Amino acid sequence: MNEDTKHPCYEYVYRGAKLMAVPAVHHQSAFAHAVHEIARDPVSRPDAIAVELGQEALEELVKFLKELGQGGVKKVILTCMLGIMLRNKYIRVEDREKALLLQGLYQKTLADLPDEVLARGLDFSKWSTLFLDPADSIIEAVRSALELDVPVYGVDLVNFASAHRSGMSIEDPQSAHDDQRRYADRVMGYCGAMRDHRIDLARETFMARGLKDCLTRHKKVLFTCGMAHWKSIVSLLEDENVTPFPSHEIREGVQLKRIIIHPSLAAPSMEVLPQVTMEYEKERYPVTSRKKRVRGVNTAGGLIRKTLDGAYLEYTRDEADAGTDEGGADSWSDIGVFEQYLFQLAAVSQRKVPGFSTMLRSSEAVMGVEFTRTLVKHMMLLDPDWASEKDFPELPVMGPNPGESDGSSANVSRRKVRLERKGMEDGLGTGDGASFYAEIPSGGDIDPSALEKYWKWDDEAEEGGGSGGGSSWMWPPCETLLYGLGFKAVDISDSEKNTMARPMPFEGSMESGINVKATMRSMIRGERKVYVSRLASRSERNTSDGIDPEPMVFIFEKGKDWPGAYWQTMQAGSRLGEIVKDKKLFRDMAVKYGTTFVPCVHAIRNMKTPEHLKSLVSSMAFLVGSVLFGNPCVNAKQSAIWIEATKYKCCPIVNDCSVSGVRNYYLNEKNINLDLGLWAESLILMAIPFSKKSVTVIAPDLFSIPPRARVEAARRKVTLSHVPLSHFSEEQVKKARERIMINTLDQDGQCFPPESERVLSQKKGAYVELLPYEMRKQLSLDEGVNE
Amino acid sequence: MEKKKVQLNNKLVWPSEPYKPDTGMMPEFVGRESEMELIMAAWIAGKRTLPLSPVLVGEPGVGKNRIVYELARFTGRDIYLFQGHEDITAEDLACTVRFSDDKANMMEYVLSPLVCAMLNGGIFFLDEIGKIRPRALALLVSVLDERRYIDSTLLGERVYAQPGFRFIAATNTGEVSLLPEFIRSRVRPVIKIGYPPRVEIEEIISRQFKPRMDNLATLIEKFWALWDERIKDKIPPTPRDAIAVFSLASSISDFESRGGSEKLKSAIKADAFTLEAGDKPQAVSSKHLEKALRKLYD
Repeated sequence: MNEDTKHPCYEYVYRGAKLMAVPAVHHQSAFAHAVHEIARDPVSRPDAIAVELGQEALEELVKFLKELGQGGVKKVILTCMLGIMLRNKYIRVEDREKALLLQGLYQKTLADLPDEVLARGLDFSKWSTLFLDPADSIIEAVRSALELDVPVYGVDLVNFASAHRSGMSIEDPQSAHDDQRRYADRVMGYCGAMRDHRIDLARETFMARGLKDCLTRHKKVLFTCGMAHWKSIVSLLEDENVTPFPSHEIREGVQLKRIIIHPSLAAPSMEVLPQVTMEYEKERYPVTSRKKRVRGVNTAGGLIRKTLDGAYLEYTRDEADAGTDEGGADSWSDIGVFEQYLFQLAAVSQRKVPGFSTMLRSSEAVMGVEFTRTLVKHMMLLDPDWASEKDFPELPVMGPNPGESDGSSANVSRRKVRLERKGMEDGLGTGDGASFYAEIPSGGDIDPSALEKYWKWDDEAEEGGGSGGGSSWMWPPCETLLYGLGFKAVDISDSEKNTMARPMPFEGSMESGINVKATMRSMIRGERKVYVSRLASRSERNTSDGIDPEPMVFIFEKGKDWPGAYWQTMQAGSRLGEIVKDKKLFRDMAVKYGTTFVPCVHAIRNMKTPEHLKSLVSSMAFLVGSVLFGNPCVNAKQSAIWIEATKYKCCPIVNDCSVSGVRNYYLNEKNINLDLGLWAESLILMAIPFSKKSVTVIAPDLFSIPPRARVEAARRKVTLSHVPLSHFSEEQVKKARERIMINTLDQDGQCFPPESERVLSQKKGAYVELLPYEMRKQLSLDEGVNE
Repeated sequence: MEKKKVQLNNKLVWPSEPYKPDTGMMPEFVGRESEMELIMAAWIAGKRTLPLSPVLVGEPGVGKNRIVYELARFTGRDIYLFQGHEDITAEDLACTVRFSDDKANMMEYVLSPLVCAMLNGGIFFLDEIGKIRPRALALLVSVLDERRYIDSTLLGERVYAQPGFRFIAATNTGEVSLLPEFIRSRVRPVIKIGYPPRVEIEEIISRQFKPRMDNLATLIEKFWALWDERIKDKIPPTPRDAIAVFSLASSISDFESRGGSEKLKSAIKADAFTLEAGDKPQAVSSKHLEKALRKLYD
């Protein structure tokens, strides 16, 4: 402890000059606060400040901060998050052999090797970044120097290869708020093990020489650096052979670029939550101001509580509004589990309070997408708002590479990013919109591109969406999930038939295995016979091979009346005649019945399209009931294969594809008069004529099949199997009911807007694995979309 | 060691054995710290908090089972493994019967791995939970909530879990959504086991193949180049994929060094073609690696 000032810094005296050092954990306000207090206190106020930065980067930082209005006597908020990119030049010397190997393997010079290869093979990224994080001790030191109008020196090397850090974790820096000096003593006892001796020793020697030079020029110098360096720097300061050297005079012409850091990249690296950093900034006054920084009631713990409570309230209110449960009661019980898990995970990760990464990971694991979206929205709230292109139109935004994870995981500081500035060249070879690798401050184990699933920056929500005169098509995963659940229900119904079969005495075949209950009953009766469960016969099964599946009916709601619902018929494709193999047969069928094949009929209710999807989605609806005749018809080719394989007997064929046209078809061709006001009955009746053996009805648990449907099924020797909806999770059913129509870029709906997957946070091929093999095979013939 | 019956109330029953992974066959464990943390956090329990029952979700081969084996080792617990499939019945999860070897009895009870884990305070690992039919999972309900017991109709007994009992399940990506709600709400957190980063794959390969391949660094670079070139959509390899490619490349090299097809055709009983792999380093080349990748993925 510095006895003169009582500030929690380390003091070193060199030739009568005093060095006050704050070894810090980066981006943690406890250390920024310590720097601020030393600079503010007239007793300890330094004559000069030195920081762990190269001089050229420091000079750019100073210029940038001044342009942002920093350094004056008036308080000016430093918005989050601006940054400076620095071009990297060097690879580690021990990677020389590997670099030669890669050059040989790819037949390219090192400079021309793809970024991915350099990043993976040599742990090299062409750029590193400096975040202008108000809670970082280096940024605080430079701001203090500007406010005090004292010289500031960058004593670190300008260029060096990236260090290999060990994955060791240190005690939660939040503990430093209690007693920063004791925290530093504890952590410095072991954090030296994280140093990369080869790279860091050279840097530390350079820093020690620079500091000695500063101390020959000034009587009181404040210095801040990473905690892992301090012990080594002290031993080098004591070493007589390490002579003073004006490190700040070194110039290497390093390439620098100012940027806005996308919040998805910035937030995970900030202290606990972005609000915690901003709280520090809001409480901070210039060191020359008479106003003292007073820590408010909003500690990290308090801000986390506020964030969680805000998310809980919004989530339970939304759930109750949506009527998915009674007043959100289930949601609150889920939240109890989430809280338990969240704080246990924080404890396992040895954190005093759960941070950004812990909150996100817990929510994903326990609560699912909807809650996580709400929680992340609250976690990313910032007042004042995030720095954006609107505030700094001349700066490009460095953001995560959209829709693509870089495959990195725990504590990796190298990320694939993208630099974007609309309509302008950046002139640095990164190219607007081109992705590249950059070193960024470690943000725990969050892959920033994963945040895209849950959170969109306001600026981005307005992007894309141009339909370009295309038409509206169904988003393929909507179809594949619905059909996937249907086929699973058929399997459930099938296996239940199998095991419900009566037991029979063992006569040589094990059939479906020993029936223990029947065997024991037999023993009790004194028969001593072994009973086996009879396998359901082939005729009793409803195997969904994917070639000619049985129809399925979904009934999602109880009751006869479905208020607000209306009928919707779908087409299997408008140009099937050009795709089928037997074109003559198709023409004959068309003449006889019509040219429109109806693969499914839905009862739907319109849904409000969320704001962030409006630019992409033309309409959204919610299924109330549905009859699916067997094939999802994701593209015209699949439809053609299906109708030919089933000899045109798989679904209604009409000329007028309105619901009245379908009704006339049933009346004229199938002798069934549909009462379209009886929704459930009509859906089941539509399925029965197209069934070979059975129709699976997936409906609420206590659903009772309407008598007229039973009679019609019996008349046509079709079995109706009821599979309760509770076999599937509520979340899955809710998802399967969503119908998302998208404005495609072409008339045929083959081409969805490129941002579709990112905006909807879903791959176009999602859920395909739920379809039977033959259907997946049909899809692999042609990548397209459904109609 | 002779297997012995155990006493369960007034019945003598056969227990299921805990699974002891063959550590000799498995290379040293690499990475997955984050996933381990997520599971450990779920398993923490006290007097007033129940442990949660996580389910691991990931593509085949990403190492879900291995994570569970390692956790069992770290926590010093026995692991009772139960392989899920479509023919499992509800009672299979509690107890089964078998024909007795003892002429005096016709049948004997065999306790399931779940019941044994509950009785012994071990870890119960239900692999491929998504393949079990919903009705067969019904017995799990009381095990996974605050009741912590299972009723067996066959045994006519109620078995309570020891405090040390922990549950974990695993399934492939598409199947978790098809779990019935009564189970889905009880098995959480849902922990996604993604593809490991390339650096971890390299570490796994190095640990497993370094003693057998001199030029491993070159081969690893070649592997990545080939993988990126050949595999559609840039799907990353799972550890299983990478190990399979290197194993096959090593075997192809071994086969060739022993004379290859010519030797195989002329082999006779006295001079049979040996199937045992040698311990000596193999002269595996990029060509072998390419051939292996082609055989496995084209």
